Amino acid sequence: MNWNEVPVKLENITVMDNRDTIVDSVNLEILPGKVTIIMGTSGCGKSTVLKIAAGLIPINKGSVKYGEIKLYKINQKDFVQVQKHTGFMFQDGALWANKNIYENLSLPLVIADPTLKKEWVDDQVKKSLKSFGMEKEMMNRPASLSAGERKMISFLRAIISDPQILFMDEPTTYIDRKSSLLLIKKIFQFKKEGKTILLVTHDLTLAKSLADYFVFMHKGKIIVNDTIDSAMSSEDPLLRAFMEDQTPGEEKKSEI
Amino acid sequence: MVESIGWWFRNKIKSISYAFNFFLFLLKETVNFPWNKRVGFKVLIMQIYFTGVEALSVIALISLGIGAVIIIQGVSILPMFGQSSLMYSILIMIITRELGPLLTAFIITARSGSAITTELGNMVISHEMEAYMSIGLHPISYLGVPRLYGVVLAMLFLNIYFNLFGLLGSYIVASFIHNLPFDEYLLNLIQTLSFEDIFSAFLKSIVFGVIVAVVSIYYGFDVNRAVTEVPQKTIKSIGTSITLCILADAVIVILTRI
Repeated sequence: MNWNEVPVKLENITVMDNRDTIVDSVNLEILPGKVTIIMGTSGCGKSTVLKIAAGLIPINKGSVKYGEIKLYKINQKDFVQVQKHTGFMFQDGALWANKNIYENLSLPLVIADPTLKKEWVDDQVKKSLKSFGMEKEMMNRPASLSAGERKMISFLRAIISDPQILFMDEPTTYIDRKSSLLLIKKIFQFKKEGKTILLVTHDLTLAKSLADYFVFMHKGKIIVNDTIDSAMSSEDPLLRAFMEDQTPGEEKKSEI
Repeated sequence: MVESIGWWFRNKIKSISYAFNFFLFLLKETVNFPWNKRVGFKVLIMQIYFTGVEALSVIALISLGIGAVIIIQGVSILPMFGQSSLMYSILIMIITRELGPLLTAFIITARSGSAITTELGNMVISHEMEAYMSIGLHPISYLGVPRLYGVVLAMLFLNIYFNLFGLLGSYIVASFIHNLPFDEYLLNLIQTLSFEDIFSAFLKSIVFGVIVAVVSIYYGFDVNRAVTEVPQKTIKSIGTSITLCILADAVIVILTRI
């Protein structure tokens, strides 16, 4: 299968937590080589949809397809094969606390290909850390890093095995401006390389500049799913209200 | 009211079905463990070290004390009934067949079982499990199975260790009271010890090890999202492990004595 051409399809997905519906009959197609951005108010189910698309949390109804592969129906062996081609950056880093940074970054490589030579893996980890000026942290545990640094390592862990499909949960939160710009530059580079990206963010400016497709969620449902240009001119009252809230203060003042 | 009962019933069925599926998956992965290239051997070694090696001093102290107490009680009571010869049978019965496996299981439950539930529960909350899934590692295979092997192996060795120190403790006291030569004590013990005693002790160690490991791992993975769930699940894990070990002990005693 050519992973550059594999769409990710979420069909009629429902996730429930006891009696609460977290995600309600969601249908979404993430096109290959495109950047799809999900936005919405806190608790609307954005991160849940992102994790479902990556096959990380159980679902009550529906299916997730990578091309013809049904992600929630395949066995463990095939799941590993799929995950080789995907990377996930977590909102809070989700680094393995009992492993040092080197182990956090080398494990995805070793799992994807157990035959890799240690020297090559070491080299990749070093290169990866150097690109964000974090090489001195290699032998430290995640607990000794700041929230922003943990987030950067989570980003590096997601991209270290050069996956074709990237899932990112609020990549720029907790990160200082300099690192944030560096990270955004990398994401733009991935876009240029034709990687498939599904990204959740609260940053409207980032969404406008990066997205090919825009998804707006409200209370577990997809309200708008369109190209970024069409979505920005949408008259949907919920989206308009959301956009109004997201507009930075200075912009609002100038609009007034 | 009816709706609430319905939801309660539905959730109960769901959690029983989840527990059953969890156990089946863990069992399948346990069988596959030796052939799985992506297993956590480091996790296994660390578990054996933490559960087995680090518990040695506690086990030694408790078993020495128990052995000493049994011999003191036996020496004071048995001669009154003219049954001093039963001393060795009582030692074997209590230390090897009963208290050895059971107390070892209790110590492991309190030390390692609680630690396993707490550690796994915290990993669920900090999304570390999802991070393992994201690179294609199933957390039950990678984190659960090595812990299961580690606990069972540690339980077996600690039980042997408990027996050695328990019987040594009783000898130390016996030698003070009767000036008993060690070779005579050892010979009497070996003559009393039967294959059934050893089989029963090993069987119990394996069964208790599986119970403590499976229960601790299950409750660790059963944590959902709140930090407050971790101590709750840990308490449940300890209570359930101890109860199931005692029930299993009763069943094994009945089966081996019939």
